[in-house]
Amino acid sequence: MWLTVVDKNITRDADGIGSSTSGTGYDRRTILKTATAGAGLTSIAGCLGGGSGGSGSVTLGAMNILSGFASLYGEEAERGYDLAVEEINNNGGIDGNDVEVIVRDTEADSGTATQQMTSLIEEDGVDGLMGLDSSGVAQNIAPQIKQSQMPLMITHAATPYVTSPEGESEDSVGNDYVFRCSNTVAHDMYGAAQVASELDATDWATIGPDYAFGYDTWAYFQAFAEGMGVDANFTTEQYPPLATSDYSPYISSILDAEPDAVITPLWGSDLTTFLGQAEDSGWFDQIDHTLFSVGMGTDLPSDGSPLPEGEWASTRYDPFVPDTEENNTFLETYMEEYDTLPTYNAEGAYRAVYLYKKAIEEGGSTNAGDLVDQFSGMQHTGPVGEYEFTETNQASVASIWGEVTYSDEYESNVLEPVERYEAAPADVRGALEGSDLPPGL
Amino acid sequence: MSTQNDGLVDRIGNVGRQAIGNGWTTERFALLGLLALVVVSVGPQFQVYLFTEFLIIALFAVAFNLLYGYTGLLSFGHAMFFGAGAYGLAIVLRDYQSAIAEIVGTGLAPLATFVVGGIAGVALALLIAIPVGYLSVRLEEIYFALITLAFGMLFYSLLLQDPYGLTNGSDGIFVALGGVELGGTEFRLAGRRIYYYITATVVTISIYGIWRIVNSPFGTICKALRESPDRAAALGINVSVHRWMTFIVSALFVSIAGVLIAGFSSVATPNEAHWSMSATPVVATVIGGASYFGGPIVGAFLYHYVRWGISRFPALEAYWELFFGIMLIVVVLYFKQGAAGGLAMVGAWLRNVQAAYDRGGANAATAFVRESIGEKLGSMMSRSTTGRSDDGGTDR
Repeated sequence: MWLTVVDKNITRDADGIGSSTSGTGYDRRTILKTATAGAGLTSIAGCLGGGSGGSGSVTLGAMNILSGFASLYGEEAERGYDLAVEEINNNGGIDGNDVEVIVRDTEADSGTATQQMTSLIEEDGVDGLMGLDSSGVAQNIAPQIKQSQMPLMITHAATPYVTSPEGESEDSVGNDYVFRCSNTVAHDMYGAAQVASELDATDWATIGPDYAFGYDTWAYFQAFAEGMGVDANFTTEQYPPLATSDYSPYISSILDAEPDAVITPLWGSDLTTFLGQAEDSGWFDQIDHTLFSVGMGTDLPSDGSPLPEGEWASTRYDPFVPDTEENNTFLETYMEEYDTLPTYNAEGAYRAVYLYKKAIEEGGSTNAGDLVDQFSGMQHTGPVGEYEFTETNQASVASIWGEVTYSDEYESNVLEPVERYEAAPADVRGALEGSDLPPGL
Repeated sequence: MSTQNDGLVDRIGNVGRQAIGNGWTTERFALLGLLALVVVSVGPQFQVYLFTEFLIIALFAVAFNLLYGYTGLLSFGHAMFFGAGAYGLAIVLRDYQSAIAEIVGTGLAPLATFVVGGIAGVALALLIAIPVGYLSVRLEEIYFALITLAFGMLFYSLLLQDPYGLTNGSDGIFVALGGVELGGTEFRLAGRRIYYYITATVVTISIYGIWRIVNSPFGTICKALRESPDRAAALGINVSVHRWMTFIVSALFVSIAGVLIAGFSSVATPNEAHWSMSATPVVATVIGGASYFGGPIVGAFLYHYVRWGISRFPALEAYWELFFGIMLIVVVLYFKQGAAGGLAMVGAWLRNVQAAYDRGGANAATAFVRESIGEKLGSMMSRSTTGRSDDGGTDR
């Protein structure tokens, strides 16, 4: 396959750049000597035809973490895309055209993500973008999305700043081209504060990853708790760096402070490592309640259901709620295909493809401007339920929290009982009044 | 207008003809290289983008090779200077753009900030290179590689620690190159072609500067140090001081590449200072050939475009390191002088084939080809069976 591309390059070179020199009679020696420069020219000349998005098909570009310690996020998202693509293409495609999703690895790095974005837009000629797992990457990508004027549907990254219009706060980077169909930290913490208000706990602490997501979680949790009148003291905060292997100093700092409850946004392999070490240090005997804000996103794809039963965990999509036909069908198909419960990351990715389908069919075009017009204020229903896009391009989805319970039927942890907190924009904004944090919806 | 064009075309044609007639002099080769740089700029957008990155990696590798191929010191911490360049630019852009705008006016501010940021990046690298170099050049070989690796990772973890809120931790700093208004014309510095021109100019001047350095008495001393520090010392050269100076010069050019990468990828992240980034010029140089000035450029080209080729196939992309591993093994086993050396070798061989053809026609040429290939295969077999080591002709 790659060889044919090279061949094409050479042919192009012969009738393109080569023509100016063909008269001078290069011999083999000179050709060899110019091989360095020549190879550059040939590959450059040859790539006009690189785009795979020919007429008659819809091409979407996805950017997720496919390698490194958080690769399970990308793998989950890929399942969602694949499932949606298969369903759509088996049912007449998008306006009769097949849809194709090209998934690229961001390596959880903004520089790599920028390159992948550029490649998807300019080389593959995609009609729209989606994905993004890391908040840090999302924050650096959003301004560039505006510059390249290509719609982006974020399916996972949760920083409120990407759906907070530029200027609202110092870090706000929201703009017309960036949408999000999944939850924000504000959603998750709005629900967490509700859970906190129902728990018998006053002293709160946090242990979170040492980057924006860790700090934002704690800041929003405190702001909501105060805004909603929860009786809470905030004692200590610990931020171990990503991919920490020894959590014991952080764990003992928290245990020394003797909080009643801890909220933790640790995720991925960091969370599983932490859980093992917390268990050994007697964490769950000393601390009454631990709230895992992205717990189910890690628990479901991990081996052996690492979250301890009886603690609280959040998800952004629960496989059993709402009990609608759409959700049940999705759950059934997903279980059949992958033999595990779907995560919110897979559901978000699945829904993003359907959002593009709806926008393209209703607007009758894959033009970036038309897609943005369609997405703005769009009402949509997916496995997660009904929602619409707010003025800041954020989906009005609910915050979901529940108690971790092992289900023998699914051989997996589930949330039972589970509570959906409708995070209506007005309520969220109201609760945040008095803090300088943007609601992001 | 057309006569002017014809004149230019004729002149270029003349250079080409002369080059073929008289052999390739360095000047002519360089001139055609520059012409190629201009031709690239009219290519498709994405290819311009890809080529811009290649140029930056090439500068990174050439600057690294000043210390490795020319002075014989393998640094495993040069990403530190790459990162320093990137962060210097990013911090100035983030914190001082408005202050600079007040001095030079909003129209010119983005350009002025870019220049000031670039200088800040290089200055930051200088500030780090002086003490780090001073401490590192006392060691040689593996110890030098390890101490530079240690310093590099120290800098990396400092970036992650986010001291005084300066580096923004693992998220990195967004680098927004703005639009410049200059005498009624407006252009975006980050515009694909504009940024390519900036990069091509800076990289060309920098590589030319390094070329002048390696061909100066300074560069000759470097080579003497590589061949034998003891003999050089006996000739009155202060070995540590000279190595220290080379370390600093190499670091400065690497930081220029770092400044360019931050503008290129619109972000400065700690990854740019990670040890795996230090491995990039090492791999490019080994693939390309450390003993040739152009080796790292050839290597960077192969590194960059092979990786791009692999990335077209999602199934293979996850294993791209595997392909580079195989490539490295092949190069290390069979092309001691790297790809550049391999090209020169094939060139020499083809000249011999031509000579045989000139002497005795097609039969002689075929016979020569058969014989030389047989010889080569024979030597390969014996090498693999006896495990004889070859130092690539360099005395290290």
